Amino acid sequence: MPNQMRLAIMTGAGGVGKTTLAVNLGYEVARQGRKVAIFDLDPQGSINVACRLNKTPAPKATTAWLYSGFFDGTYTLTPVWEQHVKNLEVFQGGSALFKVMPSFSQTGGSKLLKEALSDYPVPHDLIIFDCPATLEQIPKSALIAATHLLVPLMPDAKAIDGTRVLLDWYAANVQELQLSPPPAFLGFAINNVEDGAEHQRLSKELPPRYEARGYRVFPPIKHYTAFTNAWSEAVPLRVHRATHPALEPIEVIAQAILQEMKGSKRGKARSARRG
Amino acid sequence: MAKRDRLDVDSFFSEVDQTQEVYNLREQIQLLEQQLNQQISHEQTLMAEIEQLRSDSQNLDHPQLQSQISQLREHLKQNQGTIQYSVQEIYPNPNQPRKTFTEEVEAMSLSLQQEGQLDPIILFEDGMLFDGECRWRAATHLGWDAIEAVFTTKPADSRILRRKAYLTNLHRRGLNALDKAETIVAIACDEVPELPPEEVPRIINRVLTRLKRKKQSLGERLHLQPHEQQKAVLEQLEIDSTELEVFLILLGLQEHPASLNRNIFPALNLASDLKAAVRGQGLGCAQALILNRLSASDLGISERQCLKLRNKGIKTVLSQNLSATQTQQWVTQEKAKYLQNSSSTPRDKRVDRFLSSVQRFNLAEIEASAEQLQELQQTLENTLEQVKHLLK
Repeated sequence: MPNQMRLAIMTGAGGVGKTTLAVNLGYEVARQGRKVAIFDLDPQGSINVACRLNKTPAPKATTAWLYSGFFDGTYTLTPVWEQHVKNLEVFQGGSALFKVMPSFSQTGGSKLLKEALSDYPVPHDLIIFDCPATLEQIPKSALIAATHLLVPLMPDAKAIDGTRVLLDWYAANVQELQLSPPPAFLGFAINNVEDGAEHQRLSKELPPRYEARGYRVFPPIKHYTAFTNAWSEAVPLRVHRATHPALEPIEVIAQAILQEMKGSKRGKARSARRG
Repeated sequence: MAKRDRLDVDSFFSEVDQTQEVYNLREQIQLLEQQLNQQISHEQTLMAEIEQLRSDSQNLDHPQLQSQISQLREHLKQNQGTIQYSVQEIYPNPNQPRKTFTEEVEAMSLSLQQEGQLDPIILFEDGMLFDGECRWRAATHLGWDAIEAVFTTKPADSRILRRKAYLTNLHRRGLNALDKAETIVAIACDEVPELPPEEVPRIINRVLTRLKRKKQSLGERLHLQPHEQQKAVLEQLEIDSTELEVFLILLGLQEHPASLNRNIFPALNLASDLKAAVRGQGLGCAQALILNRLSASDLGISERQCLKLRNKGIKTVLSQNLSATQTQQWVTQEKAKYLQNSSSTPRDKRVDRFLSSVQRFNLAEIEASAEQLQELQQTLENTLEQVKHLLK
C-alpha cells in the first residue's frame, strides 16, 4: 500500500474527544468513497460503545492480537454503520490489550504494529489509530506505524499542558527511534469548546501560537449535546442530524485528510519541526 | 479570578520552544559529529594507506604514493586551509626511510627560489613532518622563517578508531546484524584483554538467563541512561567483574544487551553459506536466521543435501523478496516434506556419524597404497554384508 495514510489520533490528556473524532472522521472519509479502517488501540474499547459492537470480543479478534507475537495476518475487521456508508470497518480494542503489555517490555514490542502492517498489508486508503490517552508503549507503536498525527485538545490548562508533554515525547521518540521520515502533524483540533470566558479566550489565543510554530490548527469544534445523543444512538453525527453546525469543522479535518491522501507521496510528508 | 492567575499561553509556549530547541540542537550536534568523524576517518584511511605504501615500496616517487599524498593534502587544505608555520618548530620524522637528501635539496632550493612553494608540507600537530622533508630542508637552507603547511592528526590507535567508526550513526545504520555482531565483539575484545571473541555473546546470554531466573531485569531504557547510572544498576546484580565490564562496554555503545542477545548475536551462529549470502547477496539477517534452522541432523539428510536445500531457500527468499514470516512458512513447508519422507523411528547417532564420514570421504584427494585400498574394500564389503543381513 504505497499511498496508505495512517493517522494516529493522540493526546497527552484524557477525555478530549479522541474516539468521537476518530469515528466521525472515519465516517466522513468513508462517505467520500474511500476505504477506511479504525484500529482501536485503547484498552477502554470505547469504540465498541460508539458503534454498538460486541463489548467482549475474543482476544484474537482484537488489536491485542497484533501485539501477541503470534500475529498471522488475521485482521478481524467488523463493518460498521453499513446502512449509512460502505467501506468503514473497525478492528476492536478492549481489555485484552492489558494482557499484551508484557510483550512490550521486550525491545521491539513497539515495532510490532508497523511490522504487522508491512508484513500483512491491508487494502485500506486510510487507517485511523485511536490511541489511549497515556503516552506509553501502545501510542509509541502507533507513532512508529503512523504517517500522520492528529492531536485533539480541549481549551483548558490540563489538555494544553498535555500537548506540551506530547510534543516533547514526540521529539524524544523520533530522535531515539530514528524515525525517518517522522510522522507529520496533520494538525491540532480544538475540541469541546464551551461558552465560558476562559474556553473562549484560550481557543482564540492558541491557534496563532501553534501556527507560528508550523503546526496547522483546525477550526474549533464547539461542545454540543448532539455529540452525546449521537453516542447514545450509536450513529455518526451526520446521521444523527444532517445539518448540524459541528459537521462543518469536522468536514475541514476530513478534507485535510483527503488532501493528504491525494497530494502527498509517502516520505514527502512535511515535517512539523521548524528548521 | 484575577487575570494574572490564569494560564499564560505565551509562557507555556516558551517552554515548548525550549524543549524543541534542545532537540534541534541535539540533531545538529549529531550531524556535525557525523561530518567530523567522516572527515577524520577519511584522513586516517589515507594516512594508513600512505604509510603502507611507504613501507612496501622502496621507490618513494611511486606514482600511487604520490597521488595518495596529494589527495590527503587537498583534503586537509579544503577542511582547514593552509598556514605559514615557523621552520624552526619543524622536526623530521624519525621513521623517514630516506636518509640522503643532498642533491634533491639543492634542486628543491632552486625551485623554491624561482617558483615559490607549490604545495604545502604536511605536519603532525606537534610539528613533526609527515610529508615534505625535502622542501623543509631547502627552506632551512634558504633561511626562510616560515613555510606553508597543513596539519593532520597522528594516526590514532586502531582501537579508538574502531569504536569511533561504530559510534557514527552513519556506520551503524548501514550495518546488517552479522557485521554489527562482529564489530561489537571486536570492540569488546579490544577493551578487555585476554577475552576470547566467542566468549562475548556467551557472557551476555549467561547473565541474562541468570537474571531471568531470578526475575530481575535491566530495564528497557538502560542503554540510554548515563554511564554512572548504568554502573549503579549493574552493580546491584550479582555479576562478576568481566561480565560487568562487557555489559558496560555494550551499554556504552548505546546498545541494549537484551536486544543484542535476541536480534544481533544469533547472526554469529549462521552457517557459512548463509553468512556469505548475507554479505554478498543482500540476504536479510532475519531470513538467514530462519533458514539456519534447516540443519542436516534435524532433517535426517546429509550435509550436502542440506546445503543444497538452504541454497534453494536463499534463492527463493531473494527472488520473491520474502518477509521473515513468509520465510518461516517456507521453512516449515520444506521441513514437513522431509519429516514425512523419513519414518518416525528414531535414528541411531553412530550410524549417522558413519554415514556422514563416508559421504565426506573423497578418494580422489587421497594417496593410498594398494594394500590400504584392499583393506578398505574388504571392510566395506563386510559391513555391506551385515547391512544386507539386517534388512532382510
